[in-house]
Amino acid sequence: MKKILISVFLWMLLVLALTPASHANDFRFEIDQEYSSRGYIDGVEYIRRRGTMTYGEEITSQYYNYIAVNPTTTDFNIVASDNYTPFAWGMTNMLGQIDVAKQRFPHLDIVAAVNGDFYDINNTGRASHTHIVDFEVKHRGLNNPSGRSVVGFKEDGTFVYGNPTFLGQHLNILNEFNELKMRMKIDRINQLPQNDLEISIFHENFISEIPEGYDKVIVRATDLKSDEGGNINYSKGRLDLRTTDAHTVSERTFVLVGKAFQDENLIVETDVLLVQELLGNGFEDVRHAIGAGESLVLNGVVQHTRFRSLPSNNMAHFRHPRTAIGQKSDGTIFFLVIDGRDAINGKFGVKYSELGELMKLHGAVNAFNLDGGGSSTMLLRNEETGEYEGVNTFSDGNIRSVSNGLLFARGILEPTFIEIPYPDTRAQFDAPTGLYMDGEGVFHFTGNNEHMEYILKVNGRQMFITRETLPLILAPGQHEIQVRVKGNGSFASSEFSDTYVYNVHPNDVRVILDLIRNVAKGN
Amino acid sequence: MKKLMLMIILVFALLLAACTPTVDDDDDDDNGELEPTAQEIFEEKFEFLVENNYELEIKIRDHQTLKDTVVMMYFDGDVVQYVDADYIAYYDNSGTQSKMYVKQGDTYAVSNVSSGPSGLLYYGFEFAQFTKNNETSYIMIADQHSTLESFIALGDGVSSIDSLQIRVNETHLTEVIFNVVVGETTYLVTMTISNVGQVELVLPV
Repeated sequence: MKKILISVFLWMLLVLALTPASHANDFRFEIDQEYSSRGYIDGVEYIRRRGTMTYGEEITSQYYNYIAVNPTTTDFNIVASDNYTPFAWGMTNMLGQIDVAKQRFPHLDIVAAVNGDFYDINNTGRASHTHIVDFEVKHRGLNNPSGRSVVGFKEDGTFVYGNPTFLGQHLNILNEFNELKMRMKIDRINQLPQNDLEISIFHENFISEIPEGYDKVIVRATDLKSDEGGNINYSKGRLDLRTTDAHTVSERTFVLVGKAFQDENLIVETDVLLVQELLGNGFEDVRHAIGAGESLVLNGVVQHTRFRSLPSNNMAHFRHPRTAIGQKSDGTIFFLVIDGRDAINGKFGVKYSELGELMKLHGAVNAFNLDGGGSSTMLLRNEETGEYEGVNTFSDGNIRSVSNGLLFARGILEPTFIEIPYPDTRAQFDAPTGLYMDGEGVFHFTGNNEHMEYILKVNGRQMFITRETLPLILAPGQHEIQVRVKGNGSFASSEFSDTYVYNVHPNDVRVILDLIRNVAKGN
Repeated sequence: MKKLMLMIILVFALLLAACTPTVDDDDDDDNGELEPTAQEIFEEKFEFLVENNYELEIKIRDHQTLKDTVVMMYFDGDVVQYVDADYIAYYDNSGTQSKMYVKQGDTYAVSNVSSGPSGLLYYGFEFAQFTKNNETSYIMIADQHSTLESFIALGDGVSSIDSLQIRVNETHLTEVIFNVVVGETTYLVTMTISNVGQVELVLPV
């Protein structure tokens, strides 16, 4: 009898061992070759695919689009986008976000875009979780991010994921060249410093008077952002007034209080004062980041166990259009946008489990769900027209306004937040010389051979460049052009060069001038 | 009484004769030279082009937008400077082959350019092409605009030049004003000459 029981037990163990823990082995995607393609658009790998997905016993028709770049080995960057207005959040479709990003990063060439985090769709448009643009932590993220993650990118393109820890608000004093003059921990919010070493910040929600005798820096805010609890976690502005008088915080200002501000050189009129959360847990020096939803794949494992643990009414278990981000072992970052909510046309959408399998199928070692449904958006620039076109089917029938997104943007990111000594004892770079525009519309100057980082200023608008020769496409009119060498940890930024004035003539006028110039040749 | 009246009339006649200014018999001046003819006066206004030393402002007005484009040219004999904001080019016409020096940063790039034909635009103007409008301006006779075709042919896209007018001062040509048609758009060109004999140009090394 005992032997029989042992045999039964061993058989049961064997059966259990051979039974798949999930449907992972049952996942199959049969590609409909006629409607599938793969190629490169401006350096972005682009796959458009239609096929039949078999997962377990369910068979569905699927359409999806895939784009990928490797930001660690190419000049592509993954840049967070938004269209948040000062003192508020906001929602704009990804076309609008590309326009905003072009203004923020005029030196970058944006090739593709996808939607990002979930958001407060019915009210403020605030992203649900962390949002970092160019080192600025506009939204530090959730205290209890259950089921959510943050995906971010460092300067070198390294992918960071997980959830940041919060190391407290810090005052970042950035000089006119966007160099980090000083970073100081804010010890107290809406409370007076308790000793000479502490500094405090007072916001407009502090209605009492800050007493006299304390060193105060009144800051005229250019932006303030608050979380859903009304806590202001991001404050940006410029020096308005320095005083020790009693002061009541007025609207759209904030006040820094502390003995440190006795030093009148610490904060000057040209400095930008940025108070934001310092993030930890790998997010310390993340340049761009957005919040994401559930982890789909972690270390190469599709998170089926996690999906099964979710309540039956969780969106994970229903088919919807989806957007997901994945990281491959070689550093490649890719996005998948799956069409859905259109079963009649074979666009069923996917569940989390299916999405995870699809991401893994494309090589994801880590993958995360982003906002989907009507928010799912993938835009790719048309190589011929230069226009950005939606490549997925928008289930709302039109492109939806969303809170944030991620862009594939080509070019070199301007070094910012470079820590410099205080007081600044650095020697200054020499200003560039020899500015000229050649007959082909190519701008030239003589800069610094050992540090080829420059700020180009055209009619007051500044742009980061890393070359001393570059084509400039300028509209007809008169243009004032200057260049300076950008500073680094050892040398301060140069003065701007002498102004080079360049006239771009309308075509007809150029024809007339060319004709009249003939008078100069001879006679 | 009648004699008295005759005497008085004679005396008045003598007085009147004494008051009448001397009238020359012909157009000779005090030195006995002839007054210049209208053609000579016209041609005198162009004599400064022999020295070829002057400033030329070229203003092109877009009739549609009323925006002006202004560039400068400086002439000093065989050397001509073209200045368009910070774009500067020199032409050296001293040799058989014209050379152009274009400022590129702190240096100049030199290249050979084809020499233009002589007598271009106002360098080739003749009295017979114009009617005198007043003491300081002449208008090109309508059918004489065709004489500018060889000049127009040097441009790529200019359809025609019309309504050409010149202005002069006591000594020289001061303005050449005309319409240029490019495609279907008409532009007003005003070329203003100044600082005659005061330009000093040195070719870049």
